[in-house]
Amino acid sequence: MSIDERLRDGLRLNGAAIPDDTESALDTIWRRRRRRLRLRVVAASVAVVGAAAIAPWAVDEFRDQSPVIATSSSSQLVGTWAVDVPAGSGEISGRWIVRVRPNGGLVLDPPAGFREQLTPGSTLQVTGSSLRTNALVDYPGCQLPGAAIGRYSWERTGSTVVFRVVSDGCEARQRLFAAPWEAA
Amino acid sequence: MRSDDRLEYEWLFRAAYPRILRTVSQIVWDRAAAEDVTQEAFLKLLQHWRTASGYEQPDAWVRRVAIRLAVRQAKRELRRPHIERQPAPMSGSGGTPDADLAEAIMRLSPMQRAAVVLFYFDDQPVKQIARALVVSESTVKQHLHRARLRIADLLREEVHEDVD
Repeated sequence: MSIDERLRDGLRLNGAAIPDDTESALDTIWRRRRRRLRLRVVAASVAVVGAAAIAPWAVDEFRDQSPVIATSSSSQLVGTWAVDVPAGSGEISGRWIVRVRPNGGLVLDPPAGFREQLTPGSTLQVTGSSLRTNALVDYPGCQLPGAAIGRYSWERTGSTVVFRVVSDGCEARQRLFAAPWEAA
Repeated sequence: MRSDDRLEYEWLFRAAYPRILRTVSQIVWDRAAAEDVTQEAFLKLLQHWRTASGYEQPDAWVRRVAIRLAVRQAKRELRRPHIERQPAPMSGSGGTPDADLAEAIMRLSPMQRAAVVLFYFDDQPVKQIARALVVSESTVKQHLHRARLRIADLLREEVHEDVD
């Protein structure tokens, strides 16, 4: 094995084994932001004579911290879909089972010939007839700027959803979204 | 922050955080430090949200910030006395699949580590690595060249022609 193969394969394997807890990390982000805002308020209170002058701003800032319940307009896509990627697309070819969760989470079940390691954490967001997704972000070439997140338009007719690429530098994802999705 | 801004930020976080964390982790190879660095980059995105949300690719912006913070963290870590350096295990219960490689990469300089991870793990071309690390393309090639030789030596692997 050449050093280049060892580096590519080894880093990919090691990367896939790294656990992440995205939701917990997101909570931490909001906690850290609140803490910094509090410190800023304290600093401002010390610096500015008359705390009353900053009170309305502070109240507004903290009011913004109340949890926002994530809403998703992806309800028409929620469910399980079978996607047949035609032959000629390399290891992407074959039947994919795609599960779209109500919160926009995506679970991809690839065909048997797919050898890449799929890591969890795929998501999509629908706004009207537009859609953004990071599906297959770990696939080679799909981490580049312009490829990590793909943008599509979509249309559902009966039990079939058809996508059209708006912008996406990830070729593998384009192939997955080029095939019609059939309700499974 | 308005609620639709917050939803937009959270979506971007969920879409980009896992992959950026994996990249940063392979540069600093310390679980707590990697999480801290990646979260710090996203906090900076939050601070600059009004501007950054208008960028065509805010995920690319936060990725570059995270990589620079990771290199800085790795440099800081190198300056600490060896006895104090006890990185937390990176992988889950299954362990590190290629622990020898991880260890060899940790013996590289922080810039070499970053160049190797961005080139071989993130598939980034030299030009983009240079932009992320704020160095010239020839410097990136030099880092990659030296890193390959060092790792090949440590792992007793073959070295063929150089990277483009």
